[in-house]
Amino acid sequence: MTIHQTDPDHSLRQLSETSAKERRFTADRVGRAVTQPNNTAPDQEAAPAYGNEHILVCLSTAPSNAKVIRTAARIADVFHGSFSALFVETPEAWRLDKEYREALSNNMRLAEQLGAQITTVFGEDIPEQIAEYAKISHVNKIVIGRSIGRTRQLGRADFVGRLTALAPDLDIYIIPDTQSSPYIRNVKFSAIPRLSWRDIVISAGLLALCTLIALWFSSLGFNESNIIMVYILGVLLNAIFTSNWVYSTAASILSVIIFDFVFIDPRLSLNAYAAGYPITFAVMLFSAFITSSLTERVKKQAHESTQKAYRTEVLLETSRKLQQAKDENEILRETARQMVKLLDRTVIFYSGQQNTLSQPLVFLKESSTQDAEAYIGTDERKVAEWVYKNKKHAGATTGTLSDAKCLYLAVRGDSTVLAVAAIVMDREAPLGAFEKSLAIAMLEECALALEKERLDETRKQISIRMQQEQLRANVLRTISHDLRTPLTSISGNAGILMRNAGILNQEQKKNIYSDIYDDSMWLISLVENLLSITKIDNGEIRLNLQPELFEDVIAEALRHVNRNSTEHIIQTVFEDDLLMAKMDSQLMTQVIVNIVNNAIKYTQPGSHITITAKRDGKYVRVEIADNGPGIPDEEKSKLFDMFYTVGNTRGDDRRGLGLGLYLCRSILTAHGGSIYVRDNVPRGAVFGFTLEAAEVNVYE
Amino acid sequence: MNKPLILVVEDDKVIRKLITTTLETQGYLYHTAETGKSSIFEAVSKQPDVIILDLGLPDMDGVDIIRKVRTWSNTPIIVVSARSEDKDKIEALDAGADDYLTKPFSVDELLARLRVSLRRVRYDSEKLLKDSTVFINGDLKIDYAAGSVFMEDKEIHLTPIEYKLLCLLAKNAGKVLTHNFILHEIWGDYTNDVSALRVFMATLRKKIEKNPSQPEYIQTHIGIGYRMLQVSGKNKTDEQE
Repeated sequence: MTIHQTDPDHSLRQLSETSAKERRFTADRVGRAVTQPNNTAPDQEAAPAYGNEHILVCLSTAPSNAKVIRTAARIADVFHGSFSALFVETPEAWRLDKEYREALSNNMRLAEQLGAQITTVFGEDIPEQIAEYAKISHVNKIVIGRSIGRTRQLGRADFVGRLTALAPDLDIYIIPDTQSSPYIRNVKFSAIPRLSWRDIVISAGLLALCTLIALWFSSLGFNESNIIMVYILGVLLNAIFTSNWVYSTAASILSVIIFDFVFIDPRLSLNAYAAGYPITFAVMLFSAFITSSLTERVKKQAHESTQKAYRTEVLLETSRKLQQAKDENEILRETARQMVKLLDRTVIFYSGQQNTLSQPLVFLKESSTQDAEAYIGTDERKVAEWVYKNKKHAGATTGTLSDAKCLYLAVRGDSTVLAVAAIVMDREAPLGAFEKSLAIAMLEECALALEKERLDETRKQISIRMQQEQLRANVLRTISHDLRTPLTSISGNAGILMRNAGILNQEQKKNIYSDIYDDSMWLISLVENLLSITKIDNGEIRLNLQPELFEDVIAEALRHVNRNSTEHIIQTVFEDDLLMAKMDSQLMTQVIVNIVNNAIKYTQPGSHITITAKRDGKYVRVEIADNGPGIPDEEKSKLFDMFYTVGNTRGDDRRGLGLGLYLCRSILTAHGGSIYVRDNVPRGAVFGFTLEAAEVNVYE
Repeated sequence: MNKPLILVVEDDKVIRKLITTTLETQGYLYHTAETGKSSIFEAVSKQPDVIILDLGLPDMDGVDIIRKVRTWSNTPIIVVSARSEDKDKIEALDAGADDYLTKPFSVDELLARLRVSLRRVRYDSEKLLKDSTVFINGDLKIDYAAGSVFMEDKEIHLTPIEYKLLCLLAKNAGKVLTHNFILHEIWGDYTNDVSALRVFMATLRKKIEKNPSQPEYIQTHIGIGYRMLQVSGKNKTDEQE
């Protein structure tokens, strides 16, 4: 704990002195760190902190606060530390005049310009709030103006003393400030003119009632102390029912005067004969004062705790809703909804992705009838972009680009701005500090949620990429093996034709032609499958997802199935004509081609193959059923494995490559769908897959 | 009409031989070119009816050839390429190609596509002579002036977007139109909602096709776009692909 007291009279010189002193101090530390590299223990607190200093300046309404802010900025600069400015909003601050609000916002603006991150917290106990904030934000140097200490009420410990007690690790720099105290005192009196007739009537009524009761007591011959009690009760009630401390103070004074005037001999005069009366009056006045100020404080605290509870509740609700949000858009939507509810203003979000801002998402306040066109024009967007780039708040009611119609707040993540929130300020009063801080707290919640969401997204993509890598490795191993067989057949048969064309009869030649054709067709389908695989594995292209109609995809697939299909009867059944899903059409076509070709291959000519597509909840289910011999249960689980062929006669039976269904499963997995096989009734097999259905939005 | 003249641009000798042999068997006349430059020269000097173009030529990119040819000629171009990615197809089609065939292709498929393109040539030349306010394709008739559509002389009621889609396809009959092209033409710059296009196309097809799963007029090129086929009524059988 170090306290630096600087020369109060030479503010300018003091600035440079402060920094000079800091520089020296820094140099000392560095020197020590260098000369005692092994003996780190005594320096443990100082050494790690160096280079990671966090300087906090306390904002106040005093115009001289600017000096304090500048000093703090200088210190932050010297230390290359981060710089924050804190304003503790007390209940008294609510009564501030326009003049002081302006002074405060000027100070905030200055702090912002000097690179401070501004935070507002609430509470009556300023040292406690500062200490709390300092702990949370890892502040290690704090700069305050002297004036803050003077605003404290009687009976409180000295400001710096309390701060020291609460946060013993802080370095505190006090910048004395001689001119600010009259302003602060003025604050209280400046509130007086705001008297309401209602409160005056209440005060007068209470006073009259007390006097009546007192007169009655007096006529009954009660002791004077009872009458004093009645007046003190009156002041207490006054403090409870009126909105301002002025009334109860006035009531205390008036009570004493009336008491003296009406009940003390000589009656109907302000003189008192007995010697003890001045003491009685003084005690009565003080009791009344204390009663009124205590009540006042109880009221303030109640108000504060209501607000605190409200704030906690709103933040909890926001955080709960954000946790339920499924994607980025939903997170932004929920945050915006909460903000609109809280602020009753139109809120606009720009989500930041890859260094650019998305199209604005507008959330109109409920009562609003006008559209938001004016708030999302290019000028406004430029402000949002500025905020995105500079990671600072800007726009209306701030010091930067204040011509804008909205206040732009950055939703800051760990290292980047994740989104920009705009709150419409147009022709409306600026946000109250409480509302603003709540909005900022919400945006912090939102930033956390967004960051988590983006992290999840990255993790998901990495896992997909790993799967694809795995697949590619497996596939490459098989290809060379599977290409050889048909190539041998094609080249061999062609060789026979070239050399022995003369001695072959027409029938033999025809057989050879058809073998060559079949093998090359088989190679073509293999190449198609391989192309599909390279598409899956190629991390850069990835899936070309587009909404497609199942009707179109199945029709396309059927144009590519084996030409032998003419011997099979293929039917298609669509329960709904507009079944649509996001898919890579080439790959999905391949899935259907592979399954249908399998059905053709493993069933007798003349078998029926039925393709159905139907909606199943959130999904579209496509089933390809045949009435062939079916698949034994023990084979079903292995069907989708790589190189598995029914009967498993690899080597002899080259017709079954064992790649088709494996590829189908990979493609569907990559699409987030699933594939399965089950028995058909009465016989045969059904291959089916599901894909998440795409909703169709059609506007004419 | 005389025997159609086809320009075959292909650098691979075996494939060129395959294509020309096929053309010979069908009685088409043909010229061949092996490079981009010679292909443009041939296209100017021989005035072919259809160009069959390989995209992978040694001296120029096929897409550039399409763009060059399109500056002065509307001759149908059928692209034959080993590039099978959708984006390659879309690039060629957007550059002005009429159709796209991926290697390996079957000879029958090539001939079918060739017939479609030749029909477009014939149709275009007929259109010049006829009243251009009416579009007739098989049993489909669009009266542009009245804004009405008839199928087998019965009026069909289309929504405004369906009508716009049908007109767009009709004006480009025989050409594969990419999704982006259609979206841009119908909805302007501000949309990329392919699913809406799919739905409108499906409903439009329901209204004009006798059997929507075996479309006669509007062909889907999955992942690429759509095309209106010319149906000549008499020889409908060879429309089927």
